Amino acid sequence: MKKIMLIGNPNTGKTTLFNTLTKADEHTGNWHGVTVDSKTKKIKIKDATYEVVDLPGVYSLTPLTFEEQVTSNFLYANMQDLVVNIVDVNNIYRNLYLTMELISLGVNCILVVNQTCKPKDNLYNININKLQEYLGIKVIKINAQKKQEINKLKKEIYNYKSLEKKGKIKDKKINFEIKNNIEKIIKNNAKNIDINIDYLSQKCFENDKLIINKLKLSNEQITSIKQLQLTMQLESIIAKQYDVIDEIFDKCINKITQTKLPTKVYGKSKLDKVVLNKYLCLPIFCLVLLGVFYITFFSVGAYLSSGLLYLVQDVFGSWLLGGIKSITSNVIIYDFFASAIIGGIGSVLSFLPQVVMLFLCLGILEDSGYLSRVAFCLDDVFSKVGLSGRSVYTLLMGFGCSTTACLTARTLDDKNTKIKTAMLAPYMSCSAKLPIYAVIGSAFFGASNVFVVFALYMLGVFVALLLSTFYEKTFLKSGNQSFILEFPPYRMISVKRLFSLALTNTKQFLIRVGSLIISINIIVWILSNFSFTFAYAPVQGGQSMLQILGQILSPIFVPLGFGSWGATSALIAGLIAKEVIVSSIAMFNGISAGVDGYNLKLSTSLTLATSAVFFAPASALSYMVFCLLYSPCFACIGVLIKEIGKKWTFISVVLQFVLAYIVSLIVYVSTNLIMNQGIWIFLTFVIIFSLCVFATVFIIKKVCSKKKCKGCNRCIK
Amino acid sequence: MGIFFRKYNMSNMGEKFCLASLNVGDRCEIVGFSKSLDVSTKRRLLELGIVPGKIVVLEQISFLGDVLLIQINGYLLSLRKSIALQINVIKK
Repeated sequence: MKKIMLIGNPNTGKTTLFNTLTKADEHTGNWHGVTVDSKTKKIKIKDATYEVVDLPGVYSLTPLTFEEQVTSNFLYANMQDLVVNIVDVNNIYRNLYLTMELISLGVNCILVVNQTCKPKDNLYNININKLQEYLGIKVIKINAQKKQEINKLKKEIYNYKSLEKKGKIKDKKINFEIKNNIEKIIKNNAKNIDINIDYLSQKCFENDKLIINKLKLSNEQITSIKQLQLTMQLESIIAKQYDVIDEIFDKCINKITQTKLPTKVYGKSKLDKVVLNKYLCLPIFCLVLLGVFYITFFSVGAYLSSGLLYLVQDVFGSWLLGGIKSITSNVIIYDFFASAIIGGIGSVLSFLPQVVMLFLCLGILEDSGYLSRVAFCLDDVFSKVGLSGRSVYTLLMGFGCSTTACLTARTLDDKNTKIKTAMLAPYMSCSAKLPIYAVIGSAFFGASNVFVVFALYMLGVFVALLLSTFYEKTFLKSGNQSFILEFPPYRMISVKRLFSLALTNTKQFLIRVGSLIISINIIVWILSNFSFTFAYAPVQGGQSMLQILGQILSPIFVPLGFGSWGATSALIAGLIAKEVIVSSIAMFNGISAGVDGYNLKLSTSLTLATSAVFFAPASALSYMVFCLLYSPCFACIGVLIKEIGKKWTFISVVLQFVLAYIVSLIVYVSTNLIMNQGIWIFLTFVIIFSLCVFATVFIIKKVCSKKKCKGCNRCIK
Repeated sequence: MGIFFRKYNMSNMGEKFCLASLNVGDRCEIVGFSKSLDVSTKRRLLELGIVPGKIVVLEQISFLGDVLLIQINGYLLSLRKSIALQINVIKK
């Protein structure tokens, strides 16, 4: 089966075209590096089946980061297949560099010019026929988002004859003599590779590690190539390549110039004057975050959630339970539906609107092009704590789902920064933890839960930044970073896109609840209701399996204020998926749908000492803090292992647990102090404690510095 | 801190500067790179169109002056000051 590889610069619309061609809903966004791995889907054009492959965006075929390597490797492995090279109509000048590389590589290639804005906002007027003639490959103009001319593209793909039209551009790049010399050196190694030798010698000259590894060159060969590299400068070669692009521009492309306005620049906007302003950029970012937070938790999202909760639990739930009661009198079956299905699933399901709202807000941020500006503004601060401005994307995605967020850390070029960023993503409170704060928080703090939840989110960010500083100062010092980041233009999000975003996220949430959460809930229900001899505990007496297990582990959490077996078991279940924490609590406390309202029942049960899971305000707070910080779910751990290796994942997971324990302990102890002794005594304690800490640090520094300056006499005098 | 050291006298036309020493709004031509710039970063910059002979405009400097936003070949690109220090330009 023939493969169709979508290759292009970042943020030119590859995934959008992929979605349009295959009717998939892969994640897209107005930020470079949204796609970090190859994605494949089959399509049928007339009688032929093709495999469309969406690849991460690259600037050239010489990879610098891991996700760029994915693209280059995939291309080299499938040289006989068809490449669809996508360029953005407004950024075609830079995009053509990759096209030139593809042509000199000699692959089957169709050039697709993607219309990314309204035609009236075009910066260039492209003469398709001339460009086609000049490059020697098929050129098509499409609009991937609006699905214009897609059929034409499909027809071209169908009609494409292998190597019928090979690109015409001959390399004007390296000096003939140097090239001959390199060719001589690598000739024998190149025989086994299905790539033309011109291209190979060019890439060897450019010091492309991927190609050098592919050729399996010996050390001697590498040194002799290195000597040849000294004879000519890299800049003059690539400058020549750009001369060719200039020539193409002269002949085939006209820049549209408005008479009144100065020439427009791709991505430049008047809005940037405000957004990137030295003093306004950070306040604006904080306001945007607060806005997202407010919409999700306190206005639209919360309102819809409480409505859905009422529907799921009180209306649908009592109807279903009534039905079951009339069919069977079996207590076990009734309890299964009441606890595991309605109590458990319902408690998670009712958070659908809030979770979808959060993802919607993140999606809008991503699509608007604002994130690159945020990265620019925050890079100053982030570089001080050992991160890159580009980490912002990963960290913000962490508010949605830690698992997908960790994957996006790939786009960072510095290895240590990448490890740090991936390790910090789980500290951002993910959307699955949202029900925990809502349920437990509202039971104890009522209306002031607003501040509690906000403080929790900020605590996560604060701990992450602190930890990053620690890593930077100790064993994960970041290397010299370039922070090379292009600025996409601002884009308005369309109503249609908004709907499809909401739909996709709803679908994903429902699938997750329907498959993973429901199966864990059933397991947790069985474990918490049956004893080791498989007797039904609530009726036949005795302790359930989970109760015994929880009791073994719960002493660990006594210092934190939540030593009940239920609270402990919920945390263990939360390792599989954080949503399960709330559903387990609901199950353990025997909450089912009923007349007095599900919400109220759950809230009151949490305050009663007779329940399996109960809290006092101080322990509720420490429980929420623990949930925020403790080890991420298994899915996230799996991704971390793949991305940063076993060693760092292990360190990260253990460290998260330890940190969660310490911070929760501090929160629990200090809240108790405030409540029992009053705020002043607490403040005195804090002051005394911090003085002690400063004194120790001071003494340690003194001792260490004395050790260092043995040769200096100043101290003795 | 960087912002305090940014006031360079730009009146000498044709003199070599580094990109990091420009003021916001300055137009310059790229002439080359410093020798200490490592090869892979240099290659990436070149691939992005920062090649000798092209015109670059400094659009914006970040809050603490560590990141620059430049306009090159009709698009916007941001980079760290540490990189910009190694790109040589002459005033146009």
